[in-house]
Amino acid sequence: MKVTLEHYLVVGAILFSLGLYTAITRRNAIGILLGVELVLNAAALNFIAFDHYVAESHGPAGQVFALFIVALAASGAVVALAICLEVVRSHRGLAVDDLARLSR
Amino acid sequence: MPDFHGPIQHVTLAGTLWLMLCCPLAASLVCARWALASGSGRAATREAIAIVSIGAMALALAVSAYHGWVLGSLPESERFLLQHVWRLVRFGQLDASFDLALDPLSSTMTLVATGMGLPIFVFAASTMKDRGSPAAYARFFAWLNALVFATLLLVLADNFLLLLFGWEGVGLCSWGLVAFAWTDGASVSVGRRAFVVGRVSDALLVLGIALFYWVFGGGWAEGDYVPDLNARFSSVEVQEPGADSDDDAMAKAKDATSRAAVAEPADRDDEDAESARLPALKGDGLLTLTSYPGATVFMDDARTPMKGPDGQWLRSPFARLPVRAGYHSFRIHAGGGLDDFLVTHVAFGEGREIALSSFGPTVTFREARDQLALRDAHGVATARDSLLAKRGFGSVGLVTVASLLLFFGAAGKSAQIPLHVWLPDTTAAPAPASALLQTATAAIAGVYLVARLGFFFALSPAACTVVALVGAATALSAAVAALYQYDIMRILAYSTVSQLGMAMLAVGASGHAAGVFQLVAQACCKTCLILSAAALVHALPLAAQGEALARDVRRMGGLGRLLPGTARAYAVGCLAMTAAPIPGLVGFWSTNALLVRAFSARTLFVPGALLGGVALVVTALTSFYTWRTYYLAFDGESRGTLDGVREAEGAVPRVLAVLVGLCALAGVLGVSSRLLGRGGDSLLEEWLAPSLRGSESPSAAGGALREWGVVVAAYACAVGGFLLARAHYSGRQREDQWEARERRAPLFAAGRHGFWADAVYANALVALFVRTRDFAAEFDRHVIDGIVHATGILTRALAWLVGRVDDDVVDGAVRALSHGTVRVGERVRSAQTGRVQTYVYVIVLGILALALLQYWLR
Repeated sequence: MKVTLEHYLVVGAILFSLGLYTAITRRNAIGILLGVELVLNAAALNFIAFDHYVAESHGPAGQVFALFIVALAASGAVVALAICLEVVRSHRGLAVDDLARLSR
Repeated sequence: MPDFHGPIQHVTLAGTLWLMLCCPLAASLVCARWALASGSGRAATREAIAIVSIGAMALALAVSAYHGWVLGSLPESERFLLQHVWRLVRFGQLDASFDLALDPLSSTMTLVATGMGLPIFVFAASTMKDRGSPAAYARFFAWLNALVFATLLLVLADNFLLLLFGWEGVGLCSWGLVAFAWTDGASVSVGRRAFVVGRVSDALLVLGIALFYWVFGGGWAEGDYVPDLNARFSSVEVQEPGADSDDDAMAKAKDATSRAAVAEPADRDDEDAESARLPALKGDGLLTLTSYPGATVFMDDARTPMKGPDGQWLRSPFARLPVRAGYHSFRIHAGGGLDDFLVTHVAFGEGREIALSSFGPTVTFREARDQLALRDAHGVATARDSLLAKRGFGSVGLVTVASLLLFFGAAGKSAQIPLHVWLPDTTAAPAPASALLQTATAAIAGVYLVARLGFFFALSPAACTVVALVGAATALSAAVAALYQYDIMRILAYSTVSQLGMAMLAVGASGHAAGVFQLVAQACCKTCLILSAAALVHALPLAAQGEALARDVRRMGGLGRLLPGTARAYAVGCLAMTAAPIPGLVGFWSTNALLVRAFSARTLFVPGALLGGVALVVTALTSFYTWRTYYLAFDGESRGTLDGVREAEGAVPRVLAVLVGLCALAGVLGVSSRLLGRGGDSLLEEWLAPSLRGSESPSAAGGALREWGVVVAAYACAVGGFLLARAHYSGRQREDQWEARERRAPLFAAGRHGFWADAVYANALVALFVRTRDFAAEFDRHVIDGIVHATGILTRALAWLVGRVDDDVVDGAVRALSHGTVRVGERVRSAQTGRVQTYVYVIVLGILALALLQYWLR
């Protein structure tokens, strides 16, 4: 069986959907963060796939984007985890429902 | 352009007339300086003030007499001294210079002013000594000198503008003297009134002058001023007066070949052809130019102006310059931005005097009179005819309007109804000032002006009639008023008004010489009377308590025994004034001349007999009231304490003696010249004739019988008045209740109050003025203030409106914006739920929506 672009895209879509589902359904901030990471990885996977199958002759633009996304996700995770630590310290928990009142 | 001929005024140039003005002016300034310096220790003594003033006046009298003598030594037609001092104003067609002119009329006036001024000054120096401070003394003499200066300026003026300066000066000095006692409210108030009355007449005079000036240069047609006579020059052949009977004039005109033009000279050919026809001329002619002082003349295309005998450039005015025979043309360079005037083809020959005379609007008396007398080559008096033809205000002759304005201007100074009220007020002034005002200065100015303008008034019989009627009314009413006064000075003042009315009557009846004679006579006797009355009042012990008490004839009586000298002087004054049967005194002659004139007057509508009758009645009344004062004051029982009443010593009796002498001497003026083998007019009339040329109507052919009838009637009236006064008031026959009897006399109330002139003024004019003022105040309060208030209210309303707009609309908009922003913010904030999942939903849905949108739009 030859692995085609569609396969990658399906895996990416599954990853994206799982990430989205996780981000929507988790009440824990860390869980949401994990979902978001999945969504980002799905996008990075699509970039790699398109780079490989569609835009190979145009240089490694997709791969660069993927690396950027990795860096972005890492730095986002750092900030998010720092916030999480702070939230844990102040709220004794990481339930995002409890944080809703920050908007008032 | 016709060439003119006629009897224009010969002019003799004089260089010293200004001295006459300088003396009183200098004395006035010096005295004023001393009056101002009174507090500073540099004040002069009374003696110094008196010496300066009297010296100046004596000098002025001497100069005046000298010029009178110069004038008399000239041939009759040349009796006109002219001195150009400086150029005053020259713009457009108006040319007026500071020119002094002395002709027999003004010479008479200067002699009256200075001749009466000198004794009055001496009297004042002596009697004012013990009144007031040296400063007041200096101030008094400063005003007196200024008054004489202004009067001399007035009578010496050659034109209206200069006359106006003198005229206003006299008005100012009248105020200064009447209100001399400036700490006394009543005196200040009457002084102010004299000034205001003067201003009213001055305004009329100025209007008259303006009309006089305009009417010479044009007229009004359909409401617009149409100039028809521009200033220009013409050559005029000077003729002796009287030589212009029409036939003669025609013959001469045919003979005369000179021709004048202001326009460009005609073509050369034309000129040659004409000059070929001209007869040859022999001998030197004479050239005269008096217009546009300072102008130079270029003769016959010369490059340089004509030169006089002294080698200098000739400047106007010059007279009788020899010019060689032949035809000459002249270019007159007046300067001052005016175009040169051109006069061509002027023929000079043996014994012909040619004047380059200006035509058109003028303010100079002499030029105006000359213009009216001139006739052109056809014997037509162009200027005169065109002047008479000018109409305005419908069909009233402009000459009449101008004459009437000038007359009512003059009436203010000569105290004619209705502007006479100021003269009785002059009694508030110290007696010498009052005498000077009444006899020698202010009061004579009006009659002088009318006499001076006789040639102009003669053109308008209607104006002459008004003059005569106003004079008659004034004479009669003032004489009645004088009957019932108790203040001796007021009696004399009303008498002055009455006498001035008589003079005006004579002037209106074209008897200018008689009118002037009346002035001279009145000056002599009234000065004598006022000064002796002043001496009398001064001598009374009551004078210490108050002038008004001392002047009351009811408190006098029997003073003749105590003050015989004064009584004699007063009696002579009375005799002289009342046309007394002593022919040596002046009043006899003047009254007779006046009566003859009045009876033979030819005025419109008013018969001469009426004017003559009024004059006779006034003569009788004059005699009555004059003798009444004499008898009340000097005859009968003494009243009150008369201890210490003593004849004044020193200068006063001498002054009175001199005045008595003058009263007698002036009578000489009335002597018929027939005694000297001449015409038969009185000496004064003969002397004044050159000044009054063109103004006298030919004396009526009444004949000797009529004259004698008038003389007898006047005599009878005077004697009748005297006898009546004697019967009522002389010491032996006076009733005790004479005051009560007077009160029952007819017209007592009217006469006592001067025909309520003051009341009429107070109730009519002043009340009108006050009412107008009140109306103006009400108007101001209600209308003007209302407008102001309304504006204020309106402004406030507007401000409120603007405030509301600012508060509600502008601020409202801002507030609404902020509120809206806040509310939108509130709304939008509710989207911020704070639930992360919600955000994710929204993001996902948004992306889906965008994707769908993109899908559909593709």
